Amino acid sequence: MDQIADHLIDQDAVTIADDTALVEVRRVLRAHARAAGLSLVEETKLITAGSELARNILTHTTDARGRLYVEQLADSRRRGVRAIFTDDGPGIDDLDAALTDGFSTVGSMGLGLPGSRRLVDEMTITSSPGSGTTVVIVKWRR
Amino acid sequence: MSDDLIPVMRIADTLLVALQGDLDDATVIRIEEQLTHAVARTGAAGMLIDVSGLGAVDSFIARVLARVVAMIRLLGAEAAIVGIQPAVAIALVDLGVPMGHLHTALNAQQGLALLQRLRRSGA
Amino acid sequence: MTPPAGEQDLRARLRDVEALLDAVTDHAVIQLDLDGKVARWSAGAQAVMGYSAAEVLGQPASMFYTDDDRAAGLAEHELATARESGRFEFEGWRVREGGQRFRAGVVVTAIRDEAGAVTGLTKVIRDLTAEQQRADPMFRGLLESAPDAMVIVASDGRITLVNAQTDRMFGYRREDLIGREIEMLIPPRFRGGHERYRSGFFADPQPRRMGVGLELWGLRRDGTEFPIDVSLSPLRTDRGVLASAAIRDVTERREHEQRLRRQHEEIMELSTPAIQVWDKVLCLPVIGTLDSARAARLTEGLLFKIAETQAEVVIFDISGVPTIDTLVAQHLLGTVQAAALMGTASILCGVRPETAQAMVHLGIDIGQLRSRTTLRHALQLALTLLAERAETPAGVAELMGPAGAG
Repeated sequence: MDQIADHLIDQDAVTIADDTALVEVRRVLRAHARAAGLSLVEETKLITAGSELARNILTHTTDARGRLYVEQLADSRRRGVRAIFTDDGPGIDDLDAALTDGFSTVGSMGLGLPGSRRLVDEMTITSSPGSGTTVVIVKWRR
Repeated sequence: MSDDLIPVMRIADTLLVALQGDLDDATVIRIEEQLTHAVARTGAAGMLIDVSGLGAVDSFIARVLARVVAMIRLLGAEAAIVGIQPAVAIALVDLGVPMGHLHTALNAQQGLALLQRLRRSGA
Repeated sequence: MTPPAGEQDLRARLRDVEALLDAVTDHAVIQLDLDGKVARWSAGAQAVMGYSAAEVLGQPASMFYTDDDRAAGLAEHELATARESGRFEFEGWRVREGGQRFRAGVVVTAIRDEAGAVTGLTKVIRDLTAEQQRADPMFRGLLESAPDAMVIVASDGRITLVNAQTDRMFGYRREDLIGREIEMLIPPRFRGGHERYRSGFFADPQPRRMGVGLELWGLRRDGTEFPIDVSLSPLRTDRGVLASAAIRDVTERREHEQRLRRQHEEIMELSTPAIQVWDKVLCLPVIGTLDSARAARLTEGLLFKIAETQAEVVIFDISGVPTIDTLVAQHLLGTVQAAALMGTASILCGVRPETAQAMVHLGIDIGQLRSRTTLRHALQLALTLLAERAETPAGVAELMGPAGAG
């Protein structure tokens, strides 16, 4: 990602503290998807993935706060949207397991990470027990 | 008893409701309650939930829909989801939420035919 | 210059000479000793070069050259040539105090004593950049008022003149561009090719649009790249041919073109795959291999078509797929799932015995998906399914009140 000359055209931030934030998360992602010119299907995938990731933060962190940063991306070839979900929650113990379908901790869908991964073009997760989690997703315009 | 958040239409012994826009979790839960109560109160034999107004369905809404359908079944009725949009269908498959047990139809018209078929086959 | 009547006062003559020299303010007149160090520095030299006499006396003339030229030993080479041939005239780049580069016209003459031996060199430097600017105010005016970025380049590839638009477009100050190579304005990966292109242009200078059919890129000072369109024309001057480049930022136009291309592609994709073979029955012939990008496009096209035609059955004809592997099966089943969410039943057809074997071998389970060998059988099944689904007339719809009457 360092190779890409990023043009930070627009940036938005949302605090994820309770489930009313999810509507805002989806609204902001939709706005950015439209600004980047994503197709309807790409937009829907981005919003769905974002909703899942934001929901993770609410479900798996009790007092911890989470934040979402959304920005436009543009390199010499294409445009897209990058969304960064961070929280200072307990962190993910076993990242490999969490990224495997069928893994479940709380609730019936676990962390929904494999599903979110399939919905977006790029996903990077940084997490360790005790130091919170950061998930970065990117959706490009085809 | 929950307030009526969304209008409920009745066609013969089938109830038809529509979910639209971007709903927050609390509202979704309240709608769930409203629907279950409506089926219980009216003794309807079937319910169609039209989601063509939903731009995105995440795992939460999917779970709630599954719950509503299950509850309605327990009340002796049958339910179907109609109007899942193409983009939403694609995203749901990618997301990997199991939706196989849900009855679905393209629109209300096909949904009514589906419910009749289910009743005929003694579901 | 006539000597004072009757007198042979050398000092007076010297003063006259100096006064004459100092009267020349727009040329630098410099005297160098045999080692190439500054021996005399006129007022004009100070005006053109910026340095005072105290700062340069005794310094080597190479201090006025650019870093590259100095490293290449250009100063020594020019002085040696002048010493040998007695007079030497050339053009080059010089640097005045403060680092500003300018195009210089230089004449070097050898100073000889009565015996004919060379005792030093006289160097006269003209600021050609300044002259050019003064000489043709209309040209300058045209340049500045041009809507595009205008860059004038000499045959050695160095930028001689730019307008304000260039500064704005590329993010540099004018002073940072003059005298530098034109290639600094394009991304490194294109520089070699551009140098070759440049020589080609100067070999046969014709007005032309640069790189027809190619995508050209400009490089801004902050490192970002942007698409450009370049038109070239030769500028004939009394000192040779210069290249005049009009540069336009075509980011918007490129995006517009891309958008049109994408729409066109999408229309092509969406309109081809699924065929309506019957009322409410679609057939999707899957031909060739399915990578995830192609599978995604097919799925999207199919689902939009289902919505458009209100289809209730889709027949996937895979007789055109050479091999069914796990990945292709996954894509197919994913599409079937998505169609099912829209209430559509799917039928597979065109499964050959070898394909069936391979699928069983790989453990591919098609679940509830029905399969028929030929399209005709699949269509028969589709019609049966439709008959089963046939609707009966709906009852009258009523809006229920809160009391739940009815």
